[in-house]
Amino acid sequence: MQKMAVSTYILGISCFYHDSAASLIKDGEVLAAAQEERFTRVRHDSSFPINAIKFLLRQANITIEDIQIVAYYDKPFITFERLLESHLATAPKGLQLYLKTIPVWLSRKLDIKSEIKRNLKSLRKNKRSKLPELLFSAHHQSHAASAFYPSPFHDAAVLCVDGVGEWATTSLWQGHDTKLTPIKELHFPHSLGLLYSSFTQYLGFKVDSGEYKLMGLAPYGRPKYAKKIRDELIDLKDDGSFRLNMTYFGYLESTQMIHSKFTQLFGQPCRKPETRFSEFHCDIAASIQEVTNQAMIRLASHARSVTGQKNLTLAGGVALNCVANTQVFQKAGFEQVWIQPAAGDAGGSIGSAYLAWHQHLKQPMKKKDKDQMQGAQLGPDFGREQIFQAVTASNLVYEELSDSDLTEQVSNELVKQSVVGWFQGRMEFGPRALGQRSLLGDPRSPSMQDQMNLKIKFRESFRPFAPSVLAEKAADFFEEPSISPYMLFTAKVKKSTAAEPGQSLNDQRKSLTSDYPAITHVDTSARLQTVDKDISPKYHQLLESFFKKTGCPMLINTSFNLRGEPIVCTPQDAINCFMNSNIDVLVLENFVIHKSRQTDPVYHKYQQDLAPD
Amino acid sequence: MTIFKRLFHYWKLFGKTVFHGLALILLVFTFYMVLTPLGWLRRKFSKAPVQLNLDPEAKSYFLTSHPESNDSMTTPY
Ligand SMILES: [Fe+2]
Repeated sequence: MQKMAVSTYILGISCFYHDSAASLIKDGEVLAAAQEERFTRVRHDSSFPINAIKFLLRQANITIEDIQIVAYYDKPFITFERLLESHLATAPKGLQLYLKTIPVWLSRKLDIKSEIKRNLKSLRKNKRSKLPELLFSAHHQSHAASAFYPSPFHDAAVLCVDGVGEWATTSLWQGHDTKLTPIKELHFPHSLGLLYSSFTQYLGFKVDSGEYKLMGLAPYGRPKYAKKIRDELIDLKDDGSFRLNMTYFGYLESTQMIHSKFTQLFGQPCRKPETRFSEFHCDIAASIQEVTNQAMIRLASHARSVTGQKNLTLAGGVALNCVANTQVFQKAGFEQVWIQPAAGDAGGSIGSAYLAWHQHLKQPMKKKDKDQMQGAQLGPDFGREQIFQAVTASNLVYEELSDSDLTEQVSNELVKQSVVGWFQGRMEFGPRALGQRSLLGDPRSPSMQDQMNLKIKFRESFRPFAPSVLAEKAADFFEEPSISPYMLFTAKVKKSTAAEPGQSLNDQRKSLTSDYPAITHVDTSARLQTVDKDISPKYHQLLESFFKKTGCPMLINTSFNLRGEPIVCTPQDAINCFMNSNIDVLVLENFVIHKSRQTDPVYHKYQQDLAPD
Repeated sequence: MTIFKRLFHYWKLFGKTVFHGLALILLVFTFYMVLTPLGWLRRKFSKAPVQLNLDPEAKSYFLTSHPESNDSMTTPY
């Protein structure tokens, strides 16, 4: 008799630094992945991803006993060595940082094995069952694996650029079949990610989360200080390798990213959070973005000449910078560029799991012709029954529609300038909402940007929203758009003219001319998401329906959450968000809920609060 | 009974304070008496892995990567 083949489940984990996350692969295929923050509702939660793991087990309908391997995305001993070496290099400076980090490391982070085991034990049904084997991959190796293995390529150059892992801050790899060979690297403290974060702090944004705001501010300025940055702060070589002049930076021996020498260099103090942006701030943002672009283009070009590959894959936090990615795509000479959608540390969990499969278990690569991330739709979904219960428990007046009626009615609402909370299928893995947990609006409207910012997200923002566009129509509306399913590239909006930098942010936004002002930045660029029929059929249908009515094949797509919150995960999260904001229509799968039709006054509280303007 | 409970509470508080105080003294001691001289020696006599100097003449700052060994995933180092 033939023995029944048992599937191999590998659980990948990333945690304790930034966004913690867990991923599950079964026989080499990604089954599910999610960030812990979505479950705990704590933004950028870095604690052990116990809730994400519980979800993975539920999704695969298995228990922790069915998992053969748990793979952790970092080598904690080497990271600790790097911390000690940093202190050796700077002592007697750095006592404060030492007192802050060393106790946490000695008591918890160093003994990560016990920490992981303790958590896994709490998931066991049978207290005597054996725990899965525990493996560790290096930080950049995990990033590289997350970029290469799920990419559509069997051969590619791989470039990873982030803040810091153990030692590496930048690494260059060659991927061939299941082999991922490291070629070159740069080490801490010389880091493009930390350079960018230093400027993030200088401009009064939060480090590790405000980087995208810095990128969004850049088009308002001129890169006047790029030369100064290149002359003083970073020695960038022709091959993209670089070192930072550490006399300007504080992160090696203190809890601050920058020294006073840094602010003196530019002649202005750090911007205070929530204060106005001056021309200077915009120019600084434009300058550091320019230097980042240059470094990324050089690194990628070097990767091409060293590996001779025509495809490039990217990961690491810096690969979330869609402006730099676009420059790389246009100028580094590769035919195709693919980027891991969870390019930050969350994605390390997928990379680590893949490494356990291909490198540790030496399993062959299956033939692949498209990317393996499934549109990043790897999180939980919710059935009709669960949604029905949530809706009725919250006392909501609703309709339930067929797919075609649904897209017809929702596109009508969008034409009528309603803001729609769109909750469909499996939650996205990675930082972007891609039409599974999105707020949608009409991009043609000049007032829609303010409306969505002020009435729903309760923030003022200088950044335009991102558009989702029918993939097959993208070229009619954007100049040379790349395939951008994960919102990681930009493209110029056709028939638009840029504003002149130098004026106030508001004046620049006013002087921009575009048929789609809500999604066009002042330099006429947009961070587009191209929507494929195969990957997101329902969302594609909605866009098509909107296109038929308006001739516009795109919608504003912003993440479904309030200011300071993680993106919604469950129907209940979505209902809470609907209740606490001015979303006009909530769509939970095929349930449609209109704010105006609600009889419970609790749903109208916010409309009254904001009524005067 | 309650008086003992209260006494015990203060005793525990006292213990905690002493523990944290001692830990702090020990940490500061290791920093200045162990780490600082070691750091000085490290910088003086060996090639430290944390490189702080710029080299304007160099053509590249890249370091050559070393492939991980086959069983590298089994250890946290
Ligand atoms: Fe990283």
